[in-house]
Amino acid sequence: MAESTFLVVQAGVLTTIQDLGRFGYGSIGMPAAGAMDPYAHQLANLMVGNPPQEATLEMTFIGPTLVSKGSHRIALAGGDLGAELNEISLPSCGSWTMREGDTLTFKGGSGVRSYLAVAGGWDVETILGSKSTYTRAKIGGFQGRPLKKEDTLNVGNIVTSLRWQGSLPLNLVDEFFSTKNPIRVLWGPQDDYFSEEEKTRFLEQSWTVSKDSDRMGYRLEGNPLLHLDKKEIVSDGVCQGAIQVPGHGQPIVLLADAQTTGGYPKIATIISSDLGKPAHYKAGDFIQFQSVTYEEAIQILKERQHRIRFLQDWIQSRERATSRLWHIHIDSNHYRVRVDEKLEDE
Amino acid sequence: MMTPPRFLMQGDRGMVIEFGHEIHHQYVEQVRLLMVALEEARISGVEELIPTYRSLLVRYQPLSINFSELQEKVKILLQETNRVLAPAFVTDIPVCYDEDFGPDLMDVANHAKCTAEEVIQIHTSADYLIYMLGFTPGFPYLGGLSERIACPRLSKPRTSVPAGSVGIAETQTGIYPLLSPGGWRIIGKTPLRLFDPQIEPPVLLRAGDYLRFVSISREEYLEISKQVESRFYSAVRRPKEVQ
Repeated sequence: MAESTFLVVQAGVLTTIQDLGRFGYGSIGMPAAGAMDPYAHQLANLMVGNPPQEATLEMTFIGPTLVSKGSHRIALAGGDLGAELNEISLPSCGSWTMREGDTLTFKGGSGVRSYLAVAGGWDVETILGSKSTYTRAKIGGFQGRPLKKEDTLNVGNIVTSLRWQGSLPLNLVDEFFSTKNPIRVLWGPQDDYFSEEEKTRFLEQSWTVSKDSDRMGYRLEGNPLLHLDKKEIVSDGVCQGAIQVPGHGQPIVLLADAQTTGGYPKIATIISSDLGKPAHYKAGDFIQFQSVTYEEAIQILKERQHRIRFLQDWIQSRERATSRLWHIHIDSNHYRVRVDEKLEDE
Repeated sequence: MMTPPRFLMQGDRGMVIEFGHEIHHQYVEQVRLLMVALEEARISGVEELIPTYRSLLVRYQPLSINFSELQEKVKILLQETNRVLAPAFVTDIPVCYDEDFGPDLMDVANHAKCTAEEVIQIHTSADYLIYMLGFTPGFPYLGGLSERIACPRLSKPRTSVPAGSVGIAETQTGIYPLLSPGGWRIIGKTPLRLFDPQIEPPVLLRAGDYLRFVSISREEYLEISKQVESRFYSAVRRPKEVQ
């Protein structure tokens, strides 16, 4: 049987295997982990025909250098990390084939995180229902740790039929990764620990992402928020996206590897449609928040799902257009002719 | 008659059912009973339950069940009162309270206006109820800390607290199972592993059981560390005497 692996020639800054998270073990204190941007992760899977929850490689700033053993379809989605396939520059969102010996490199770009999917999925052990790497407990993913030089990544055997290759138009995916708009939040659960003036200050100021920011949470810096009275609560449960405000008044946005419980008041929580947004901010960037109502959050979530379905259909329509194969008999000769249909908007 | 809980939103996929603001035996029991009821009810769209001292966090899929629909179902479950909880055990947790393992021990003593020895004596003389496991895998949140040695959290959390560190935050005490950031006052360190994904079950402790801290010397700490490393150590557990 042909080899079906990738050799890790360089590991990149922080490259881990992630899926949509290890949910269901919060009651023993197990953080969910999973992709920092679950939407970019899903898009990458969608472009190679994998199910949305299949594992991808989460790459940070500079991705790994990978050499393909065997032929594989891959897809990238997320920020621009300067990907090159055999030294030819790739767009930040698209799908390509890597043939035996092809090399994928990243020279770094304007983006912070990007996701690499391979048709068939990444073949690692499922632990407590997930392939996600939770590095703090050294579990999941590739031996519970980020990739290292000279690792060998095995490709899984999920059957995919998609053959589409190309890049997704940036205007269709920009809303997923853009850091231009404020991140939307719902107030609470402990916004009553702050006065209306402090809540307004929370929304009006641009917070700077601190260098003490990682997959567990982003520490923000700005004019400190004042608590009305108490600066602590008796610990209660934490969702990814909750924004807690410790005694010093500088908010912490809890993200993929967030603890399951915490004792600081949570002024607001990022809506699930925007949960992937912080993944595309780096230390020194400015974050601003905007509050929405529950009904608005649900509407935005529905639109997000429609957008994903639309992208799926968009890829499928090109699939139909590009994969037409004709068998033609002329006299006694048999010809196979592939016709690549040109779509109107191309 | 109990006061009805508050239903709080945590984003568009979290519901916090809050029974009270402080640590109280009655809230703990209400939380655990509601958790059992929700587990049995298997409500479609409910993904995960995270119990705490005083509240239950329900993570749900808002496009399967919305906040008010879920709230109605929970209210119905809260009216059922025929459930009971299982009997409990006590696990001994050896702790070395030497200064380099417990950098905040003196601060806690100063805050309590007593000596470090008295803090240790008070800390080791109670069975602590394990209210919940949370924060990181296996972190036990414990009830029963004497008010005498209660101490506020650090106003700026440490970016790194070693695994096994035993801490105090207000009237709570607990153990960090993994190297992680944290704001608790650290008074000592246990050589035991509270979370080990290589063994089954991966967590040493169970919510609803008790633990007792036992003061050990640095030599004993090193000896037990070796046994834990080779997985020869087995924790001392006994049934909780009913008072």
